Amino acid sequence: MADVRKVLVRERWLLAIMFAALAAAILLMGDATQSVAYFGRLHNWLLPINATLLAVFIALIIYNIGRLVGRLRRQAPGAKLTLRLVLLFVLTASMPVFIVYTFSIWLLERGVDSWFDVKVESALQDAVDLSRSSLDLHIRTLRQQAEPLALKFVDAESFNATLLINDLLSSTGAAEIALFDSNNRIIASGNAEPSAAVTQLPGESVLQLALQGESYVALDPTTEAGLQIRMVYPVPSDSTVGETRLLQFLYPVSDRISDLATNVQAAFGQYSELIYLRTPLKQNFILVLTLVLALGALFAVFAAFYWSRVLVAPIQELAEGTKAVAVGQYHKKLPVRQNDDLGMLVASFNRMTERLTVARDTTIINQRIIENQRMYLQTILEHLSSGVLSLDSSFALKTINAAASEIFHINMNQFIGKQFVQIGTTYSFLKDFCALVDSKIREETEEWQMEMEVFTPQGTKTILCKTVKLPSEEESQRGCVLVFDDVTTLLQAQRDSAWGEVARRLAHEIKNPLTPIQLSAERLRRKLLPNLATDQFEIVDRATHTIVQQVESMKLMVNDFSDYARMPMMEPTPLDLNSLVLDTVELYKGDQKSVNIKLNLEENSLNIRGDSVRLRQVIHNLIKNAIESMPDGEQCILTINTFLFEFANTKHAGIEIVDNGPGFPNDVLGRAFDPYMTTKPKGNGLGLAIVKKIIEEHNGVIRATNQKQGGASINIRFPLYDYAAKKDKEKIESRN
Amino acid sequence: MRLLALCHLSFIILLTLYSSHVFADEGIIVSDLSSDVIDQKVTVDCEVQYRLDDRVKEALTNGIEMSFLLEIELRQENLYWLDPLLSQLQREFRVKYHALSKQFVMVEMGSHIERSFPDLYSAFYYQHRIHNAALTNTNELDLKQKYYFRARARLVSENLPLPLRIKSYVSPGWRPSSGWTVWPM
Repeated sequence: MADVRKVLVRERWLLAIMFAALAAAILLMGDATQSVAYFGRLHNWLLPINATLLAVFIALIIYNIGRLVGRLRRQAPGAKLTLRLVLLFVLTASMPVFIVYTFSIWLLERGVDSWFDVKVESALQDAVDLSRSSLDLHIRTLRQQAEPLALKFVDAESFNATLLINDLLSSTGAAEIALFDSNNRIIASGNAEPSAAVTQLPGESVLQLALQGESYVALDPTTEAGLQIRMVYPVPSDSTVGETRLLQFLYPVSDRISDLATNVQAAFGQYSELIYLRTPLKQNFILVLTLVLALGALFAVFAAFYWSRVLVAPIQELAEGTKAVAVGQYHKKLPVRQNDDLGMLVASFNRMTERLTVARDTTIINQRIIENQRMYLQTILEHLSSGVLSLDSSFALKTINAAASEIFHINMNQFIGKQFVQIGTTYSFLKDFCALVDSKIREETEEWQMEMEVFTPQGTKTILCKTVKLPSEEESQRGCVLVFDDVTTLLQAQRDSAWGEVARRLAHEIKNPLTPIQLSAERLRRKLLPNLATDQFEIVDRATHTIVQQVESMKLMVNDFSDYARMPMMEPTPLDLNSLVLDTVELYKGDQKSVNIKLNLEENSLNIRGDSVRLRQVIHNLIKNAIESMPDGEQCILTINTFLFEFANTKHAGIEIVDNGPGFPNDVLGRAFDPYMTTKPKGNGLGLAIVKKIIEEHNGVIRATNQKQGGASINIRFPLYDYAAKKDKEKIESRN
Repeated sequence: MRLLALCHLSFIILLTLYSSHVFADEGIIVSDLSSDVIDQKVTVDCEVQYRLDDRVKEALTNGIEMSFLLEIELRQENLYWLDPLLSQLQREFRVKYHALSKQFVMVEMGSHIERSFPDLYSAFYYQHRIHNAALTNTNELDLKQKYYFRARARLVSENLPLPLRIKSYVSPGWRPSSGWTVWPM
């Protein structure tokens, strides 16, 4: 836009210069037409100057037309308006120009014609005729005097002729008398004024005329002597061989008559010249007029381009400004150069863009705040252990956080935009859960919460689920948020804690009275049995035996509870899991009848850090549990796999023990590691609970699942111990 | 397109040159130029025929004064584009009609000799021959060089009254000229 302004300023100067040049050219032409002589002097400059100006104007107009056509083709803003204004200006200017031109030509024709008057012309012609008549009368008189004198020169010698001429000069009043031959050679001559110039002989045509015997008499105008009368007579020769000679008389005309005749001639000559030049003069004036008008018209066209651009410039700026605003450049500001309607329009535009800018900035700030809040919430949601789902008003999934997928070990993102119940359709183990939740969120209008158990491939999970409705005036914003937590571990920990407390109290409260009971029963046996009759002996013996046996049994149970409640301090050392498994399994090789163990060990050593005694206890417990789970007489086929497992950039050592037994009942699977949870008639339900506790003391995890083909699977994972890294760390610490 | 425009322009130029040449043949002719050495001076003789257009004769008869100029140059031949001028002779005369005496008055500009003639033929016939016009001294000539004469007679359109002068710019009939006629020395 600044370019347009610069161009306009440049063109304003150009326009001023061209106007000055045009004015100068017109003034020059105006001055020149004041008189023909002055016009003649300036003429040599006028034409080239005006032709150059004309060429410059034409070039400028062609350039402007080309530029306008280019802008029209580019559909530049304001181009069509410029074209219309230019056409309007040109049409408006051309009509008066045409009228003035036509009128001026008519006026010029009339004006030039008015210079010439028929009466003046006639009078001048009459004056010339009168002068001629007067002079003719004078000539006739002189002719009568001179003509006979020619005969005196017949066959006159040069000398005699000179004497004769001198006589005649004094007697006739002639200014000059000359005798010459047919070749214009002077035979004799004489002049009334001895200092006069050389005799001027007649021209060729006079000579021819005289040689043919004719006399020649005529007025002879001269600048120095004024009018003269020239008479040429042939001088015949008496001899047959003599050639014809010619005698010339030059008579002066009186000064008075000569002056008058000269004046008449001058006036007549000037008028005749003017009459002859009348048409060319008119043509010249018309040419000048045409040139002036052409220059004026071309200047008007050039000015039309300039003024059109000046008028269109603010509109063009506005158009470009609105274009900029349309593409989002709200900061666009236009300079207010004029204090008129267009200036007011530009000022209004600037106010509008200011408000738009403020609104846009506010919107951006709000968007950023919202985006930050959204990111903040997203971050929180992504790092929540709870699964969070948002549903729209039609109960289609809108957002899902990562924990939601992790809880059920499925990819929930595939259900975004789909109905919530479709999760249950795709994953059958979630069918009941999804149906229940779906019905609740459809029916309940208030917040609700419930806990339910979901049987997943990873085991039974206790899910705490609650929803919050999202009321909104906008349909798109309505819906609800579903939050669910896997509280299995929490509940398990609560149970473990409770069972630990129970075990500790049992060990404390029950173990103490057992010893006196046992001692009392043994004392009874010792004191009473020898003194009792047979029938009573048997009764007492059986009763005390039962008491002692049951007390023993209770002691064992209490010890187990005590062990569970108070595990001895762990003494972790680096060890290879594969070696541990091999050492432990070695003890069962002799019992091929009841158990057949297949090993599938990781090729690389699986280094972990743990208490080897307690880890052996774990493996023993699990193998023993598998053997005990087998129906009577059936061999337990046990597969033990060790492997390297990498999860979340952390390496783990894994051990999987798979049996061919009946597996865990579904209702037990989720609580298989709870204390006092057993399906065996003689089990105390602490075996797997102790196993789990030992594994957790090793920072490991344990999971029980059922195989699809039958049999239970216990999966344990320990964090891998990196010897090298540990050593390096130890070195650095020792240096420090 | 550009080639076509160029051809068009060339055609116009050729046509203009041809028409100018035709007018030169029919208007003023310089002929029979010969040179001689008289008193160690190079002199030239030549004839000029002034056969004017009727419009020019009519203008003369109507009192328009006209100037005619005869130019004779002696130039040295040069391999380059401009031959150096060694010597130049110019003779100008004016002709004007004197209505009262019905005479054509001729004034030679150099000598201011004034003569009257009853008709144009006599007037121009008076100027038809140039005889022994001295151009240069022979000692200014180099015999090893080549020289040539060239002569031109023309109506001096610059001295015409303005309306006719403008006409003479556009009409070749109003600027009669013999064109340069060249003779080797």
